[in-house]
Amino acid sequence: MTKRAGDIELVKVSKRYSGAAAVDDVSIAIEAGEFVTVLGPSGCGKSTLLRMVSGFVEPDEGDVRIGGASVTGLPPYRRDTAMVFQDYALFPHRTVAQNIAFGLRMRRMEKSQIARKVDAMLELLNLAGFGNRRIGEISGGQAQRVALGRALVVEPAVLLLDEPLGALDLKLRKQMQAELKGIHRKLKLTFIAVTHDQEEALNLSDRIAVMNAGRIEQFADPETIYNRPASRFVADFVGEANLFDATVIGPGMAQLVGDGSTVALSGDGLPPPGSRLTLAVRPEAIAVAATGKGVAAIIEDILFSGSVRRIVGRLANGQRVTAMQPAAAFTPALGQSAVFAWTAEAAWIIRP
Amino acid sequence: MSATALKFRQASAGSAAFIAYSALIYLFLYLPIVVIVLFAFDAKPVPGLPLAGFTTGWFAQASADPVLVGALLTSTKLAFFSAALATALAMPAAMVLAWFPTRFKSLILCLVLGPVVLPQLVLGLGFVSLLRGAPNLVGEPAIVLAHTTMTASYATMVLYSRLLGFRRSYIEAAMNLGANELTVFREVILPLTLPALIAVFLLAFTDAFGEFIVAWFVAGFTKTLPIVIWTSLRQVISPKVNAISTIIILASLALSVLAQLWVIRQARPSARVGA
Ligand SMILES: Nc1ncnc2c1ncn2[C@@H]1O[C@H](COP(=O)(O)OP(=O)(O)O)[C@@H](O)[C@H]1O
Ligand SMILES: [Mg+2]
Repeated sequence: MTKRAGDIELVKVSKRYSGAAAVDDVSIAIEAGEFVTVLGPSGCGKSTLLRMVSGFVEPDEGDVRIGGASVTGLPPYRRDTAMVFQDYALFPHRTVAQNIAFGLRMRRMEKSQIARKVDAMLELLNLAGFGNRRIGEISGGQAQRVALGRALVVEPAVLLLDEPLGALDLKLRKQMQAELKGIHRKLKLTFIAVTHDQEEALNLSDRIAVMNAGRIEQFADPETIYNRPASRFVADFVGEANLFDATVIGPGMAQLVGDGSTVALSGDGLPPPGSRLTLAVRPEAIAVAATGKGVAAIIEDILFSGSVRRIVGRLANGQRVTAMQPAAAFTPALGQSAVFAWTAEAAWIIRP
Repeated sequence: MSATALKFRQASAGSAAFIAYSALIYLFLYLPIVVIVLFAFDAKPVPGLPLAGFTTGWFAQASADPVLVGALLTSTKLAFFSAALATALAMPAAMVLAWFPTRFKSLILCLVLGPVVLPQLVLGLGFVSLLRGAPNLVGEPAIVLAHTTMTASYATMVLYSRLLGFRRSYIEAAMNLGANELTVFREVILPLTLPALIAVFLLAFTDAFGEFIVAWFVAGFTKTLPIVIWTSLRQVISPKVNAISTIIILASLALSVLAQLWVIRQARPSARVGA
């Protein structure tokens, strides 16, 4: 099969359902061979976005391009995409091998060639010997792999995965994550996966598009998403974050709104005094001490979980603050006042 | 007597009553059929009690009667056409209703059921008025059309409810892998709905085969089996009619058992494992 460019471009696409936007003016460019995950809470429009690429949903506005050519208006069977469905959608009246062969048969490939490709795919997915099984006779993990094989065997320009591991239990999910990553590395196709599981997104992707209410809030590599979230939503959704509203009061200084504590800021080009901003601080970057410089809080809750201890305090303004401490570190008593402190570098600044 | 023994006695009395009740219901349902079969094998020329003696002669006479045999063939042929037409019309209608966003869906569903809830006399009169505009359809074409109308309506409803449970992602998966609409229908929808289609076809066939009232209105000189039986009832009830009815009863029983067996076999996973 000829090599096709698997780069995807969505240009200002929108889709409304009875007035409410499921996808709202989204533009995104995905490079060929990339593994991109669309991450967001349930109902934020991830599936709709994916289905626009596969052709099951036509955008109300905007353009979808695959390999540089617009595919807007083309039916799904004329698009060079293959999809792994959330419920797998394996044909129950066909065997494992017949399921995998389906797309090749649709492409009118020769019988002997189909058989060869199906065997190779069964081999790749550790399913050798399962070709003649009925769909009802295989396990969930195997069904997941058959679904993957059925999509991969047609060598699409883009592989689309809608919550591909959502139906599996935790252990199998971890294993399949590794397999998926391995297959991507081997085949070098463009993969676009959709998930609401941030850990899955962080593990799998070259880049993550964080989606909220039909819009993409940030599109970047996992480290950037985690360490430099572009919005309150991203900071909160990916990993855990303490979000503080603050007012700039001087060079490198800000005051927490409603609390009065001052905290240090780092970085150049800080907004002028008087500006409002949001600070995002990861719990593992906060140290708790009995006294000293920092933000005072009353200890409300202490949770011990093996190597770490979660300490939850309440600030004077009523806001909760969570710290994650090594179990060996200082532990305050419940109901006592303690000081929560972090370095200027640990406070990531989100501008409104 | 211990409490458990008492309970047991109550339970067994209850289940005996239940068995008796079930037996009565089945007797009530099947007595007319039993009577028909019984008199088909009785020597008395006018069916009635007491029985006169065992004979299979009525079957020979029935199969030698050109009017009865002709009517049986006509009815079979016409019912086959109506059932095929009704199923073919119902399937696309059901697909649209089940899968496409439709305005006023509940109203449409009510209207679809119209021919079922209308009294058959009214329906028959309606067809008579219609056929004034197309008099050369009177006879076989009119019977087929009338029965198609009547059976297509509930065929649509039955298929519609089956299709509601059909996973849309099967269709999308096939399209995604390169199948156009027709191929999706042939490769995915048809095989997965075949048991329902066959069930609907058989239902429509049986209904059209035995329908008398509307056929009577539009038949002209065509003689379907129910019409011939009805006509013969006005003279003398011959056990020949019982004989042919017995054949029909056995044939439909055999057909429905075969259909059930087929459906069960389809549902059972194959015994083949590995390769
Ligand atoms: N076919 C549809 N008809 C009406 N509303 C829809 C349809 N598909 C999706 N929606 C709505 O669009 C929004 C986004 O849906 P979806 O893309 O499935 O979200 P996600 O996959 O992120 O959970 C939801 O509010 C959903 O109810
Ligand atoms: Mg979804």
